[in-house]
Amino acid sequence: MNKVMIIASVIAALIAIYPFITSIVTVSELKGEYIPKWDKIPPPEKQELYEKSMKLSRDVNNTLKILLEIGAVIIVILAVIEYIKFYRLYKEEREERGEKS
Amino acid sequence: MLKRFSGHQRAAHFIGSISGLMLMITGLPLMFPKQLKWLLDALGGSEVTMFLHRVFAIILIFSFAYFALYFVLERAVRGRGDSNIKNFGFSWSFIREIFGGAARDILWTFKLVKERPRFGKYDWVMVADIYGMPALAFVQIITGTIMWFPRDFMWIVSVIFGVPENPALFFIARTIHAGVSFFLVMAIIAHTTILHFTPGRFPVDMSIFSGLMSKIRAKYEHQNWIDIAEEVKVEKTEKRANPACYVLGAIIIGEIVLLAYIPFIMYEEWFAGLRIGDSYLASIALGFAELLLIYYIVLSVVSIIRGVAKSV
Repeated sequence: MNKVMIIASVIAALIAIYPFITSIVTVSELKGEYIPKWDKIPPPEKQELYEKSMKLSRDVNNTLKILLEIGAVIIVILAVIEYIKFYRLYKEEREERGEKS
Repeated sequence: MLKRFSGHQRAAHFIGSISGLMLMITGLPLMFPKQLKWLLDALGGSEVTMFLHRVFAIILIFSFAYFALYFVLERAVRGRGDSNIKNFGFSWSFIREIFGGAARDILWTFKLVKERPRFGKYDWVMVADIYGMPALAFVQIITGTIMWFPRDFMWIVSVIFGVPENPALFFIARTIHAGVSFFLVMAIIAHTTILHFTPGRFPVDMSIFSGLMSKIRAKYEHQNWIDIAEEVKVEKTEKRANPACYVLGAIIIGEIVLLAYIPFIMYEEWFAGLRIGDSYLASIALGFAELLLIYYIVLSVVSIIRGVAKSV
């Protein structure tokens, strides 16, 4: 059964990476030219699309900045708490064995 | 000794962490080219760095797809074994155990309750890692795929919503990709500091590399797991606290504080996403983070060799 699971997983993984392997060189050669240009969009729609996109970009930027600030504070607090916790665990373990920590 | 991790779990951690660390090492200079110009030059310029980034992205996608399917199949066929994660985490008793355990564990750390909560195989921090890391890696894979195939993605969006192909979608995906990766850098450095640079574990906690944990450590950290864990006859190597762990631990927590300062000096620049201006502190924090990530790769490679030798 283990072999079947391994074979099925390998096949799924190979299918997942296939499009990336076949395009890895092409993407580098295009050097950014693969992104559609603003001037390719018809003028009547361009203005509205640009403004909407700009607003969305700024909203995403600002939301991400707030999330990163909150995430950063949480990580600092948790890192300190966990360090203290493992220090306490280690100390208790040594004390029970009758050793100095 | 108790058998803590299977060969597949150790391999998932090793391949996932090496590819993830390499993605961070190559991705950070692309995100902060001004602050990490030295690394960009050392790697051979932005084009080579971008190419390397894509190579490691393929390895990460392969390991993500392989291990995700393997672990789901394994759970379906063999059940949860000695794991305390019930119904893939969709269980009220498990959620209560984890959140309640987290609160009581923090209170115990500050001596506000006498007894530490009893945990199963995975405590609340490990559960956060088990769910959080793959979830964020998945976000990175999706946003990375959008940047890899922008035209296809824009075409799909334009067909679904009936709008013209919008170049801004590429930049928004890039901003999210960069933001999540910065968070992951902080999370990985915190994760590694807690697990490897604490007393009794320094310089490395071998359990994820050898797959083994001593009974005495399990007695303190995973009381509810001991009775159902598989015992293996391997000689335990005694580890004593090395004073260097306190110094290094303090330095790395200082580094995490410095990294945490960066989001506060970021400013938004429309389609260019989040940027940071001239800041020596940010340059030092990012440079040191890169050196730490390189050190973790070396540590992982050496440890997996030692771990495999020990468990064979």
